[in-house]
Amino acid sequence: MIEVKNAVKTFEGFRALDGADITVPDGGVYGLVGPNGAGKSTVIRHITGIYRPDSGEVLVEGEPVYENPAQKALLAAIPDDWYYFQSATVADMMRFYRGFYPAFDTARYERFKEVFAIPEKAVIRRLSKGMQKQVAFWLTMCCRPRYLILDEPVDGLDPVMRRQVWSIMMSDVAEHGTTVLVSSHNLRELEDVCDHVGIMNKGKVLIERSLNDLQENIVKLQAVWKPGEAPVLPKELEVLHISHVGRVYTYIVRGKAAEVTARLEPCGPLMLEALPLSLEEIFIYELGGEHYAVKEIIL
Amino acid sequence: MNWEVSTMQSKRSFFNRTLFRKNLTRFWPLWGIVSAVGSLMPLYVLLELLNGGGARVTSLEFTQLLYTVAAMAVPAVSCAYAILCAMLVWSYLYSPRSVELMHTLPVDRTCLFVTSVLSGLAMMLIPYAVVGALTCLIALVFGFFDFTAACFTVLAVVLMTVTFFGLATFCAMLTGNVFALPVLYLLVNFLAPLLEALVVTLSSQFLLGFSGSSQGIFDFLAPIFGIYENISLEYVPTRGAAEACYLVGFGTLFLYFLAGLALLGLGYLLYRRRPSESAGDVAAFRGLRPVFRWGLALLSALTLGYLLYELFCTPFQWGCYANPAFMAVCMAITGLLGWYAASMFLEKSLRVFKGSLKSAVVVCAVMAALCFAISADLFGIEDRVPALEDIHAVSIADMDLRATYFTEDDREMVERIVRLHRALLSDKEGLRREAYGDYHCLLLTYTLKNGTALSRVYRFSVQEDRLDDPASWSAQVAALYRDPALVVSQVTIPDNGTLTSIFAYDFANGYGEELLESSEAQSSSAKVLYDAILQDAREGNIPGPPVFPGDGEYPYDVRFEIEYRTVEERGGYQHHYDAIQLYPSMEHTIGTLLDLELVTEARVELWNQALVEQYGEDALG
Repeated sequence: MIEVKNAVKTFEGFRALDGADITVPDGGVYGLVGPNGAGKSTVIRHITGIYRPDSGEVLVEGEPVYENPAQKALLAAIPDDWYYFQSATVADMMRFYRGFYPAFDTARYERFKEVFAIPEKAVIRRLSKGMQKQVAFWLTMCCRPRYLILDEPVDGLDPVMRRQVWSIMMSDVAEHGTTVLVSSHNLRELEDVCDHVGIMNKGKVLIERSLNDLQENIVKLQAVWKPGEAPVLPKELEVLHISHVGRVYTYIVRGKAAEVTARLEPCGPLMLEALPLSLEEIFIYELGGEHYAVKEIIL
Repeated sequence: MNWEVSTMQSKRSFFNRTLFRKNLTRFWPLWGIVSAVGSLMPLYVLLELLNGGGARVTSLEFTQLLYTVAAMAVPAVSCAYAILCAMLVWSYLYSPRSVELMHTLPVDRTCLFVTSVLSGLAMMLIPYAVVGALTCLIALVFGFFDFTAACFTVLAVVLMTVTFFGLATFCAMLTGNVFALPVLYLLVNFLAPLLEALVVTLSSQFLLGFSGSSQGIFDFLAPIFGIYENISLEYVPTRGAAEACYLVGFGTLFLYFLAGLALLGLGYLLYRRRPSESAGDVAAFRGLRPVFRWGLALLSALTLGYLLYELFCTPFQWGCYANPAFMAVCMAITGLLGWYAASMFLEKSLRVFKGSLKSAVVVCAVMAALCFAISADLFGIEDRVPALEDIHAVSIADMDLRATYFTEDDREMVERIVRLHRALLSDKEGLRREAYGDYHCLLLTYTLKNGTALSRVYRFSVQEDRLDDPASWSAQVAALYRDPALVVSQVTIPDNGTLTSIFAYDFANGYGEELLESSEAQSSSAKVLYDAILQDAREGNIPGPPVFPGDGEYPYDVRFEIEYRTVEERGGYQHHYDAIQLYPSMEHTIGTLLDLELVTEARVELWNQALVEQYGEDALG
C-alpha cells in the first residue's frame, strides 16, 4: 500500500501540496485526477522518492520511501517526460535499468521485443515521441515493479499501442497483483481501468473513493415539469448543478440515485429519469464546488 | 523467483557498478581526447630519442622530466580538467528530467555520490595513467627509468587530482545550473587572492604610500596558487659528478589533499540535503541566495565601480589619490547593478525591480560605507612603520636605484631607513597632494621576522631648501643616496653567498662585446675583478643614485653582470644577479681590467672620447 499522509511541499512560497492524503490500496489501479497545477506530478515525485516533503509522510508498505532503496526497488515510474541518456540505445538503457532493479526480467525484455517492434539498437533520441514512450513502458514493465507509478502515461501513444500497453499493465495487475497509480487527464480512459480514484485540487485530495462509490454517490437527473411551473426542489437535496433546455431540466445531485429520485417524485415532475455520471462529469461537477466551474467561452 | 527475494536489498551498497560503467562509457570522449592529447608528449620524447640517440638521456634527466611535468603542468591541467569531469558526472543534477530518473532509482544518495565521485576521479586519472604508462615504457626500453621518481610523480598526481576534484564537487553541490558551475569553480579557486587584490588596489587609490601590490596573504586559499608556490624541483649535489633531483612540496600537497577530502565530505553532506527541485537554479539551497546576491554586488562594486571611477571621475581628483565621495557613488551604482544581476539569475526573470527599493537602498548604503571605510584607513595602514625589533631586512629602491637590501645585521642603515620613513609620514598631506614633485619613486620593502612583508611607495622630489635641516626627509634622502655604504651594499655578496661568475660587456661599439666570461673554472679572474669593484665602492668611486635631476656622473657603456648564489635554509641554492655600470672614477676596476689584459689603454681612451663626445668635457669629472 502506498500512503501519503498530510504531505506539504512548498516551492518558493507556492504550496504545491497542502496537506495531501492519499491511500493507494494494493492490487488495483488508482487514478489520480485533477486540474492543471493541482499537485498530481508533485505527489507522484514524492511517492517515487524524488522529493522530500516539508512535512507529512510518504510511505510504501509502511516505510518512508525517501532515501530508502529497499522501498524504491518496489517501485518503477514513468514520468510525463521520460529521461534517457543522449546517445543511449534501447539496449543501453535496458542494461542501465537491469543494473539497478534487482527484479529486472530479461526474458520479458526479450518477449516484448515483438510487442513493441522497436529495434534494440535504435538510438532513443532519434525515435518519435510515441516510440520513446513505448521504450519507457518496455523497460519499466521489465523491472517487474510491485508498484507502477505513471504520470500521463499514454500521451503520444497511438490507440492500438495504448490498448496494448494497458493490456500488459492489466495482466500484471491480475496475475502478479501489481498496483498501478496513474495520473491522467484522459478520464474516459481512466474510467475503463481504475478501481479507485482520487481527485486533487490546489495541493489537496478532495475525494478519494472507489470508482463505484463515486459513481453511486452522485447522480444526474433529467426531469420534465409542467409548462410555466418553476421547479422547486426539496432543500435537503445537495444540488451541484442545474441546467435546462426548454422544459427539460438536468440536475446533478449528490446522493444515491434511488434516494434522490424518491425525494423528487413528490414534486410532481411529468417525467423523471436518473442517469449514471461519467468520471469526466464527476470530475467537472465535483471541482465546480472548488471554484472550478466550466466557464462558457463566447467567441 | 520469489518476489521478496528478488527485490529485497540484502545490505547497504555504497557503490553501483552500472552507474560507474555508464559514466565512463557515456563520457569517454572527454577522457579519450585528453588521453590522446597527453600521449603526444611521450610520442614526442620517443621521436626525439629515435632521432637524436637515446643513449645520451640519463635517468636524472628522466627524473627531471617527470618532476617538471608534475610541478609545472599537472597543477594547471588538474585544475582545468577537474571542472570538466565534475560538470559531466554531476550533470544529472542540473536537469529536472535527469535528476528525476537518477533519484527514482533504488539506490540512496550515498551510493550515487560515492559512485559519481569515483567515476570522476577515474576520468581524471585515466589520461594521467595512459601518459605515465607510455612514458615509463619508453624509459624502460631506453634504459633510463627511475622507479622512485615514477612513484613520487604518481603520488603528486593523485594528491592534486583529489584536491581539485574535491573542490569541483563541492562547487557542483552549491549550484543547480551547469553554466553557473564553472563560473563558481573559477571564482572559488581564485576568490581569496582576487578579493585581496581588489581591496588592495582600491586601498592604494586612497592611502598614501600603499603600493597596491598584493601581499598574497590569502594565496593559500587558492589551491592552484598555493601548489605552484610550494612545489618545485630541488637539485642537491651528491658525491658523484651528477646532481640528485627531488620534487619538494609534498607537505603542501598533502594539506591540499586533506582539504580536497574535506570538501568531498562537505559535498556529500550537501548532496544529502540538496533538494531535487533545485535542478536548473543558480543556487541549489535557499540559504545561498543572499550570499550570491551580496557576493555579486561586492565583486561588481570592487571591479566595475573602480572601472567606472577611472573612466569618468579621474579628472575630479586631486593628486594621484581618488576622491572618496565619487568612488562611493561609483561603487554604490555598480554594487546595485551586481545585486540586480544576481536577482535576475536567481529568479530567472528580468522582473526583479518591483518592491526592491528598500533592498536597493541598503545595497547602495553598504557599498558606499565600504568605500568610505577603506578610504578612512580604519586600520592605520598609512601610518604603519614596523618596529625596529620586528624587521628582518629592508630593501630600498628608486628609479635610478636598484633594490638594495639591508638586514638586521646592518642595524644603523635599517634605522636610517625607518627614520626616513617616519619623516616622510610626518608630511603626509604634502606628499598626498604631490606638492613636492615626483622625480623620485621611493619603494621601501620590509621583510618582517614573522615572515610577512610590508611595502610602501612614495613619490616626491628632494627639496633643496630643506637640505640644511637634518630632520627633514629631503636631507635624509640626500644623505642616504650620497652615502657610499649604499653602493657598497649593492655590490657586496652576503655572508652565505658565493661568487659564481662575472660577465663584462662593452657596448661602446653598439653591440655587447664580451670582455670577460668568467665561470667558476676561471674564478681567479672573477674574484680579482669583483674585489676591485668592491674596493671602488668602499672608496666612494662608484656614484650613488642621483638626488636631483642632472646629478651624478656619466658611466661608460660598459656593464658588469655579477652572479652569485646563496644557500637556502631548506636546502638548495638561490641564484642572484647584479648589474653594475663602469664609471671613469672606478680606478681600481679599470686598473684590474688593464692588469688582466681584458682591455687595453687604447680602449679606455676610446671610452673616454665617447663620453666626452656625448656629454662634453665635464663628463670625465
